[in-house]
Amino acid sequence: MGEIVFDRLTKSFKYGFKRQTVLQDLTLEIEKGEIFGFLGPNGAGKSTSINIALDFIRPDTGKVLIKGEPTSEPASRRHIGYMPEQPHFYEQLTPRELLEFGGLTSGMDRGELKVQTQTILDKLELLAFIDRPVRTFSKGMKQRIALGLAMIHDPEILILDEPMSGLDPLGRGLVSRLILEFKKMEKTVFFSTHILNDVEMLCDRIGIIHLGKMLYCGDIMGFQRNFDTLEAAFVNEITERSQE
Amino acid sequence: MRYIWLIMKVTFKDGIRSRVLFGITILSVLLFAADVVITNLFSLDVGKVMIDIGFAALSLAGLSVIFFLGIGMLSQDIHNKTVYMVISRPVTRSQYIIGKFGGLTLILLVVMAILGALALVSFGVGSLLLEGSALPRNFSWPILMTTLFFHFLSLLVVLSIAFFFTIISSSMYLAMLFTFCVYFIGNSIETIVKVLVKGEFITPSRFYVILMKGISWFFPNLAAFDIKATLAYGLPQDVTYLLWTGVYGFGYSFILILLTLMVFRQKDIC
Repeated sequence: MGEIVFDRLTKSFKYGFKRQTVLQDLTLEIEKGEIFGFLGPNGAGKSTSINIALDFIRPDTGKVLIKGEPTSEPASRRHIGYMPEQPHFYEQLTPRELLEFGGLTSGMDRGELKVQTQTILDKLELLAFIDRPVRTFSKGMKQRIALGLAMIHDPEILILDEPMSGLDPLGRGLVSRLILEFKKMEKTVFFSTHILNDVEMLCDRIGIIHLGKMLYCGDIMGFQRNFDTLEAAFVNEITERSQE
Repeated sequence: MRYIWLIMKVTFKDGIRSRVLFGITILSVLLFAADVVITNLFSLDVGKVMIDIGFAALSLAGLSVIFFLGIGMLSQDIHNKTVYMVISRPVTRSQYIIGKFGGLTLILLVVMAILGALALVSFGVGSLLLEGSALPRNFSWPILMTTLFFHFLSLLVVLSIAFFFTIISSSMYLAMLFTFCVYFIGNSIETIVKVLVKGEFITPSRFYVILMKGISWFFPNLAAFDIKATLAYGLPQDVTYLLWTGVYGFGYSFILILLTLMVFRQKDIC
């Protein structure tokens, strides 16, 4: 069984008197040690799938399993490091306090946490700001803190929702490096993105979702076929499907 | 329990460093200073005036903490998704709500303790300036402490109401509006029911009396916690009444937090 299993997920939301289905029978399996890119246009259902995987929202039918455990069990989240698309923090706290909170709630002990906090903040080039309130940080710095929070407890699975959005080229390079480091340690990375260059560079497999349905799941070359770039293949696929 | 404590701790740290809280404290200090000045303008019932203004300042500070800090912080958590950084960990939603409520209760307690002490200072300064006449008749420290405790308890009930409405409503302003309405009703319902039941000034229909009595069971009777008249007039306190009022206050808060948990457990946070 895969590290993350989306098993026939269906989800609809109520807008006024109407219900709109945002995920239809989504099935997907991510294997241990792979970097999986989850692609789709805006409103395709990427964030909804991730939100279900973290139990922020509940599916109408189907389930998500993390290392065989259903996400409705809080213990399943022990294995996960999560970074939201637009991270928000307790703004008066410092990176040290935030990472301490993240580590302790993930079951780390204080000694281990102290060392890990220094290491992570050093990797994220934020060590100089360790005791500065987060409210004074720029968007890019907050994004890096969010990544630090996701990695503080050395999880086996990283789930990243648009990790590159809002980052400058240096920041994107840093995130890419960290994702590849994660892969070297045989850990699993599942991330959604719009930036297809990063996908080509990082991912072992991709999943394409459109209007709540999985269109493709497999390696990049299999999807790209005769197109020169992944972007061209992606645009072509989505345009064709939208016209159907 | 460990998770609840950790959430309480970050909530407390985040709230206590907030500029909103700083503003509320400054405003309260000014009100206590004004208490001394205003009391000087009165020649009768000076003690009662001092107690009334002092507790009004405390109420204003407590309510500001609940409305601007409490609702603001919880609303930011839910509507800006700050809560993701907590519930993406192996933390249950119930632990989050209890921890958050605990943290805000702790802030309220600290603010009330500091402002309560400032109120005492203002009473002291007032009595010095007015050569002792600012203190009420039969002034007693235990009664003052009991009055402060019940004042805190009424704020705790309002905080739990604020929690409930912040979780069920889609915006911070709606939560503020609903909480204010319940606060307003809670403070006046007892008087309205008394007037209707006695029928001295009006003769209402029986249906109306029963309806209002029913409503009074549903809304919190916040006037029940207001025992400052006993302090201001040096009246004896009824221990049984105090005991039952305490049970009522904690019980009401407990039920509301339970309802909040039930709603929050089912809620889609997106």
